[in-house]
Amino acid sequence: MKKILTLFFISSMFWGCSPKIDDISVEDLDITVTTHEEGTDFSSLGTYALADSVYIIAYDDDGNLIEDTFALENVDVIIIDQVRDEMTKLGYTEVDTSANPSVGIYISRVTNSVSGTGFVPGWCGGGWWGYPGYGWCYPGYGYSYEYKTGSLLVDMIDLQSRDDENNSFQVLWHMTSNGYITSDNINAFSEPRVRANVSRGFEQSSYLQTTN
Amino acid sequence: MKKLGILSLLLISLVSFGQEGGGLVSFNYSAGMTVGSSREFIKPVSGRGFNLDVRFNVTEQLSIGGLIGWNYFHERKERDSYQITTTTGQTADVNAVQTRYLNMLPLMFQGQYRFVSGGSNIEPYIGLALGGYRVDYEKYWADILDEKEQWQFGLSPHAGVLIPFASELSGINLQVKYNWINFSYNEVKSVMYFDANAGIYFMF
Repeated sequence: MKKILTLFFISSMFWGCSPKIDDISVEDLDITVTTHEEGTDFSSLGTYALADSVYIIAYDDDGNLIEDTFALENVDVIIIDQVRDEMTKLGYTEVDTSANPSVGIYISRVTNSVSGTGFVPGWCGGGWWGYPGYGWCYPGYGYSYEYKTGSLLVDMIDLQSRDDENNSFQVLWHMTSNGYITSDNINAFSEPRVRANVSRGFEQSSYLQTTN
Repeated sequence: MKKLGILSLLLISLVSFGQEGGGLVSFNYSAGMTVGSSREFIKPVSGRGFNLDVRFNVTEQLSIGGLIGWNYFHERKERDSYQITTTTGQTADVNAVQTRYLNMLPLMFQGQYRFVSGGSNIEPYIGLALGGYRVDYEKYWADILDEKEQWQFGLSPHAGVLIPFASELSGINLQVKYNWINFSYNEVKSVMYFDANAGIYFMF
């Protein structure tokens, strides 16, 4: 009986040895989340404008958002290039903002961790280039989560929905992707990994396909 | 915790109740396989499990007792996109590697009926266990955990056979159990699994 009890207690120790996610690789920590404004007919959209730099979401020591900060690091060039490739695959044509595009693609990077209550916490973007002072807001939702440093955000904004009263646009599609950009060393990134993560966001959003 | 205390008290009462007729204790290795909606959550058969089974004879054929055990299920899902509905009812698509776990800790009362035959000392039996299961559901989206852990009522009909060694004071216990637990979360509508048990028993 004593031996049996000993065996049982030894077996219970295996509980503590159960593997959790220790064996997961760094690449396996990458996660990409997309959402869209339901009811949107993306097939009717055709042209887009793409920001030529990446908006930096950063906070000062007092927790206030540092506004109007843009960057064009090597990683940003790759991100923009991959977004352009994906939009082309979906049938969109890139035009200048002066050509009255259907949508604008706005890319942001988080350089401080941000607490939130969702995969996509409530968020307001900065001014849209070409439309000084205009921003956009996205509601928070979902699981409790924290935007990690290095998170990448891509938003498709309906440029035809310009609200001059509130200086805002409507977001039609949103992508959050994280796990692969470090702010400690912005050049320490893997290009295939960055491209793959951006691509996943578009690939799982097949409804974005346009017929125009 | 209160439920656990009541269960323990009842188990102790059963020990007192059955002491006159003798009984057996068996320690079993347990392999589990999920079924139903639990199988949608984790498919692989698990070789991680143990249980300690105590039975007190009430009559020559009937026994009552208790069981405590552990079954552990695990599956790593390769990178894929999943559609989820958020807490606010919005739809989102999530591309991630998922790691899924189900940790089961049954603490049960049980009764068995043994088919005793004069011609053989091998005793087939059928039984039913009722009690609580500590269920720990874990789903990691990369390193983000979605978890629910709680005690829930469950039951376990089972069948097995006792094969005594020459001394007849100990032997081998072989058993198959079906487990149903009133636990619901995400894709798991109720936890259901079979476990196959093999172990040594000792008469007392």
